[in-house]
Amino acid sequence: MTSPAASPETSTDVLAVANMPLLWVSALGVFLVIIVQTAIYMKAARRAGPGVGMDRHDLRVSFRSGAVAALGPSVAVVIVALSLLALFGTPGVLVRIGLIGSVAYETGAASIAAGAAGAELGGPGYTQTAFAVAFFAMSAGGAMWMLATLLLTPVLQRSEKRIARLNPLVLTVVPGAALVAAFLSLGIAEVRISAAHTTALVVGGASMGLAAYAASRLSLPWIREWGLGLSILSGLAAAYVADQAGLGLGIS
Amino acid sequence: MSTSTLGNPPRSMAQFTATTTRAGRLTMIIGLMVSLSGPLYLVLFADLGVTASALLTAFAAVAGTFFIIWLVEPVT
Repeated sequence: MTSPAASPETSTDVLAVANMPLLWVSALGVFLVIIVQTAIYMKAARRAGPGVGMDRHDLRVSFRSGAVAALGPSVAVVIVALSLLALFGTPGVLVRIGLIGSVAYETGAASIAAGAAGAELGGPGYTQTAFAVAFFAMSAGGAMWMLATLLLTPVLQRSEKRIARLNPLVLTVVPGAALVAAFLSLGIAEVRISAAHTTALVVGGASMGLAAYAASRLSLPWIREWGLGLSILSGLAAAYVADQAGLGLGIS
Repeated sequence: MSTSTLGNPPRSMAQFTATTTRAGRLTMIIGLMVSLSGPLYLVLFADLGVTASALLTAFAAVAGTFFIIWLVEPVT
């Protein structure tokens, strides 16, 4: 911390700038947009449900499964968010994590942008000016992500319609195959990192498989639903145990 | 999933897609603008001594690392 008289170029009192009221308004605005979008999507799903053979119970189960499945990734994001609070202030972190929610992007972009501004995150050169530059670059980078989504989604939708006209069966197979491919690709990427990552992947996968099998054998769908959360927790526990056993990367 | 109460699947899904596409695009654009309002205020009006060249350098550094991911991730 430096004296209040210090200029932004020399003052390392970043939080004085990072907690400005307008940034709070921006953070609240982002969350309001997320809440409104969620409400619209849920309402649209409720309206479409009966037409595609999903009654209110099915929809409730789907919403609950989605919420449970989101818990694991959200925990990782919250942990990173806590570590970024001292560097970017509460409103800045809420905006970034609320919108993109990608741990890898936020930490990477923050560090790269601060480095380009000649500073190290939290280091002696991390002044109010460096914070503003890093925060802007991070946010502009996040905006590019959203812009790409906005521009590419209609292109993909047009391709989807064209495929549906050529062979409707493809559209029933492709989404399932794409999900399997996406999760396999994510899973295999973890294997090469460390034995602890592999252990977490295997234990998490086995837990989910076991839950799906039990749900089917016992005709208890709630086991499959909660199995998502359970497999995430067992994966986390396995990663911790494997790391403590020296199978991890040794990051404390 | 129950199948006894099937209404009109194509029309239901078409309505769902139309609503979520329209609302998704609109809320995303608003979210984009709101999220940029804070950093823009800081660099333009907060008198923090930020220069355009510093902003460009920092953005180029982030873009250099993440450009491909910006394009590939939304598609995948």
